[in-house]
Amino acid sequence: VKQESFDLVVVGAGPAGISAAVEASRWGVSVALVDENPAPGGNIYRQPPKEFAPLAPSAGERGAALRRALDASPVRRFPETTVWGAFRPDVLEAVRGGDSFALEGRFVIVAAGAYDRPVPVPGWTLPGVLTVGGAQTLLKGQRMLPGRRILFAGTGPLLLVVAAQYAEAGAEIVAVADAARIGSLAGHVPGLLSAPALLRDGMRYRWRLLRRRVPWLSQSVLLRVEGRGEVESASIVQIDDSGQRRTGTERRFEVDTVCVGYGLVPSVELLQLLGCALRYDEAAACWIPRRNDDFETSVPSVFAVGDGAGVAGAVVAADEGRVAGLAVARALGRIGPPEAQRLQRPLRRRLRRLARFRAAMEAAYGLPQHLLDGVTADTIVCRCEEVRRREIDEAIGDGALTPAQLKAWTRVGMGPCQGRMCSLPVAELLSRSTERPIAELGPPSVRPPVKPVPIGALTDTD
Amino acid sequence: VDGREISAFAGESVAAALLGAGIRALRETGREHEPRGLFCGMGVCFDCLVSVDGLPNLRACMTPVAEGMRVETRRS
Repeated sequence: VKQESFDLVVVGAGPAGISAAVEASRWGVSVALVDENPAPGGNIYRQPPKEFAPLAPSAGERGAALRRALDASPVRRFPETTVWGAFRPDVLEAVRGGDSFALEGRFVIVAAGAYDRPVPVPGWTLPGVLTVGGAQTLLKGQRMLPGRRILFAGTGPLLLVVAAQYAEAGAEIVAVADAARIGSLAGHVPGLLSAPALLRDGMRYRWRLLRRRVPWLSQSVLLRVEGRGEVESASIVQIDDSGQRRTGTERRFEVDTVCVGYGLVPSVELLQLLGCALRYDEAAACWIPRRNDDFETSVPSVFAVGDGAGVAGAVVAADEGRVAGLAVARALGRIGPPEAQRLQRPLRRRLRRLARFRAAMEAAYGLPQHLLDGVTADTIVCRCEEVRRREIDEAIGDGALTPAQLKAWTRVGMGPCQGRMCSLPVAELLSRSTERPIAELGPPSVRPPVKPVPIGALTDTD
Repeated sequence: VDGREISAFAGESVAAALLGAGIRALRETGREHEPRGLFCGMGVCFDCLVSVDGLPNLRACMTPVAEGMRVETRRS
C-alpha cells in the first residue's frame, strides 16, 4: 500500500480543519488535508458544485475567506477521500474511489465535524424523512428541496436556520414543531450577549419565518411518521415543562416530507479508534474527547478541534483550529513558544467569550427529557440492522449490561453507519432500564473500518 | 436508473438527480424489505446506498452523477 508522509495530517476540511491546516502551513509545517467531499468548506460552508456557478450565490464572507486562505497556502489536499482506520495513531488508512493509501503524520488533527442527533420515532425510516442537516446540505449543495409539503420538528439553532432557508426557497412549511418553550432564550440574556452578532443572526432568521407566516409550535415534538412506501403524514404532540407528553394534544399533518433535527452531536469515531479518551458531556448529552488547552487529546500529538470535539459552531471551530495549528508549529520548532503564545492569546480570549454564549444556548435549547418516550416497542432503533426497541428491551431483560453486550446480542450498531445513528438512543434506553448513568456505561465500541470501504480497494496488489 | 433514462445537472449528486426524477426510495432493506431514502444527506447514515456501474453500496448523497452512469436502486 502506498504511503505519504507529512508533518501534519488534518482530517476534515470544515472551518476547523481548514484553519488548522492553513495556520500550521504558514509556519512551514507540511500539511495534508483530507475530506470526503469534493470541495472544502464542510457542511457549514457547503457550496454547489462548480458546474452550478452561474446561478450560485456565494456561501458568505467567512466561508469565502477561509477558502481563499486555503487556496493561497501550500496545503496538500485530498478531496473525496475517506479515512477509514488507523492501526497506529500516526498512520491513517485512507481510500479514494477504489484507491487505497496511507497518510503518515507526525501530528494528527481530527476535525471530523458533527451530525444530527438521531431520535427514533415510529416511521422515521420512511423515504421522505430527512435530518435537518441533510435538508440544508441538499439546499445549499444541490439547490434542491426534498419535497413539497414539509413539517420541521426538533429544536435548536439549526432547526430555525434551515426552516427559514427553506421558507425563502419557496418550500411550503406546514409547521415548525420546536421542543423548546417560547421565549426560552429570554432567561439567558447575559450569556447570549457575549456574542451579540450571533444573537442578531438568530433573531433575523426568526423574523424571516414570522414574515412568511410559518406556524411555529413551541413545546411540541415529533410523535410518528406514517405512509405506505414513503411519507404521507406526520404527527406531533405537545410536551409540558418537564418534557412529558400532554394527552389529547396530538396534531396530524398531511405532508410528503419531514425534516427532523434535535441538535448536532460530534463525530468521535475516528478519535476513539486512535485511542483518545472520551468523556460524557451531560449538558450536551453526547460523548466528547478529553482535551488540554491546546486541544490535544489524551493521545500525544493527536488533536481534536471544531464541532467534532463538542458542537459550538463555525466561529469557535475556526479559532480552535488555529490554536491547534499553532501548537503543532511550536512542537515542531517552527515557531518559538513566546510567539505561539502571543498569537494564541487573543484566540483563547474569544473562545472563552463564545463558551459563555454556547452555555446559554445549551441551557435554552437543552435536549427535552423523555424524548425517547415516543420509541414504541415496534420502532426501529438501529436503522442499518433493523433492530426494533422490543429486541433491545428483551436483551436488557436477559441481562445485557453494556452497549457492547447489546451490540453482540442484537446487532445494534453493527451496520455500515457503525452505530452513528443508534448508539446514543441505545445508550439512553440501556441507562434508563439499568438505572446507571450513560457516563458509567461507557462509549460505544468502535473498530475499523469506521466507514465501510470496498474490499477490492484493500486487496489491490499493484 | 434501473433501466430508465433520467437527466441530471452536471455536478449534481446521484441522490439529488434521483430525487429530481421523483425517485425517493433508493434501496430496500435486507431483513424486512422496507424502502429507504436519503436521510442524513451528508455521508454518515449509509441509508442511501445504491449501485453505480455495477459497484454496490455507494452513498447516493456523496457520489456525483456522470453521463451514461448506470444506477440501480432496490437491491441491498
